[in-house]
Amino acid sequence: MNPLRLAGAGLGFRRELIPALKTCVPDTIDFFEIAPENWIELGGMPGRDLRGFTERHPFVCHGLSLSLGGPTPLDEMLLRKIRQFMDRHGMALYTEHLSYCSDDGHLYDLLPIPFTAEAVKHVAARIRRAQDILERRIGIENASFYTAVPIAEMGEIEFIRAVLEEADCWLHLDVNNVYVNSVNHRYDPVEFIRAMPTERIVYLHMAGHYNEAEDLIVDTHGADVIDPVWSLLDETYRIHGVAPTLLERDFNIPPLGELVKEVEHIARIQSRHKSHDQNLRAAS
Amino acid sequence: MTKTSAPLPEFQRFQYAFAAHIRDPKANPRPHGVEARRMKIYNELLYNNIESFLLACFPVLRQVLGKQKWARLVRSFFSTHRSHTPYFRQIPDEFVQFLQAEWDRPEHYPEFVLELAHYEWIELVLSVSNRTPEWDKINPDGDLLNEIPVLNPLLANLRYAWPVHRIRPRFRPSPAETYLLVFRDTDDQVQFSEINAFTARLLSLIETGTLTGRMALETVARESRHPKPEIVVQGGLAVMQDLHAREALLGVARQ
Repeated sequence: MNPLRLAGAGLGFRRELIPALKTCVPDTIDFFEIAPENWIELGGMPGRDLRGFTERHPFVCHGLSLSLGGPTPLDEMLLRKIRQFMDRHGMALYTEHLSYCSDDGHLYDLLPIPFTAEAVKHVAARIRRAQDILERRIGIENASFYTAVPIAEMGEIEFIRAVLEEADCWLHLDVNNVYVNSVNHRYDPVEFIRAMPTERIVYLHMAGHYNEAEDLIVDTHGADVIDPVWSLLDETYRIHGVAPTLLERDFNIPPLGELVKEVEHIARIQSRHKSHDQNLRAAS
Repeated sequence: MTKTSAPLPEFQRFQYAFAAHIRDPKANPRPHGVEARRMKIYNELLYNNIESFLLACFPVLRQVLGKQKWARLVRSFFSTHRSHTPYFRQIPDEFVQFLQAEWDRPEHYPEFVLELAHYEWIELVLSVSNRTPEWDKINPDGDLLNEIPVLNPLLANLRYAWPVHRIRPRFRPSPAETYLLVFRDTDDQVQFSEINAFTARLLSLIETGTLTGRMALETVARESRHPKPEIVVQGGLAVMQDLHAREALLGVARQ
């Protein structure tokens, strides 16, 4: 168990799943994850139900709207609300995307930050500010993207590593995003995984995606996880050790029983590897 | 745009250009060096995402406008409005603000667009609101006439120039002053009903939280110059009892 009170395999918590989860939370599910932007100050039945689950299960807070790479001032009001929300529900880990989702207004989806030295400084300063307000270290997720940006001065690996160093934050490694980007931008996903700093990895994501074309995959979270991504998870554990891993599913949501099979799949692969924490202890 | 006088760094100029193209591909060129096929993924993902949040809230408006007018309206919202809420469920709030303050209705769009959108939006607002009644300050069994009635805090007392609740793709009504009461009951169901001007006025007087039921009804009788105020009071009591049974009124203020 790591300092974030998190281990094992988890499932994205969605309103659609509440009735089934109220009947029974399968043992395989060690923790849940939610987007604070969908739950902060939400009333009605779902708002009341959430409390019942956060009292009994660990939750991760995975942000969508902070726009860490965005051009206008950081939304500190949102950060304060997130902090209150996490305190109220006893959540330890907060992660956000290494991405932006706004120009001078919100766009409500994730866009690719140009990989430049100025962008590294900009994003890292905003991550540090977020960490100050939340009074904890946060995790940054490698985002999927569909187009290279012509003004880039470095590759994705170099950009991610530079931001992690400069912000001194954790890495939330999305294994499916690595796969999606490896197809979209023609690189070796295992080499990419290997280049990520073990000591900063706290959390992993798994998901399904949509094939637009042979060389273009869209990260929809709307399908089952495919075999190459399962293999990549196995490789990730082999290289970096086991970290808490979540199954994301945001569209075409099947019944809970179907999702739980994928969570069990994560747990099975985890049981074949020694833990990330053990690796870290061995290294230190 | 940002207020700094110094020029933006190159990566931010790129971000603004990239986003501007997504918001309005016809008005803003695709950024240099970005493949059209890949840019299109973003254009479609972001537009479809915004549209799906609006479709979920405004199904009648979508049907009444038809595919093309709806698409133009959504595009106009996406390209001109700057949304500031980080909360996805409030995207419809931004849309209503846009219709109220930024949209010039083209002549071939129905006059009731804003009112219909507002009416559809109210259901969402009430269903997700986290306001709760202060039950410790409410006596649910009190005397509605001689004590101060308390409204359900999740209630909207609405007046429209169009019968928005009857608009359908094949039914375009004539303008008519319309009073609608919308509230969320204790089972979290949002209830809708058409009320008359008398009830609407009564509700707005009760909303002040300072008048007994009788005082509110006597005010209504005075304002309407009713020859027999006691008839108004007795009729109004029946109305309040009905509203109480349906949970639009929760009881009376505890002394």
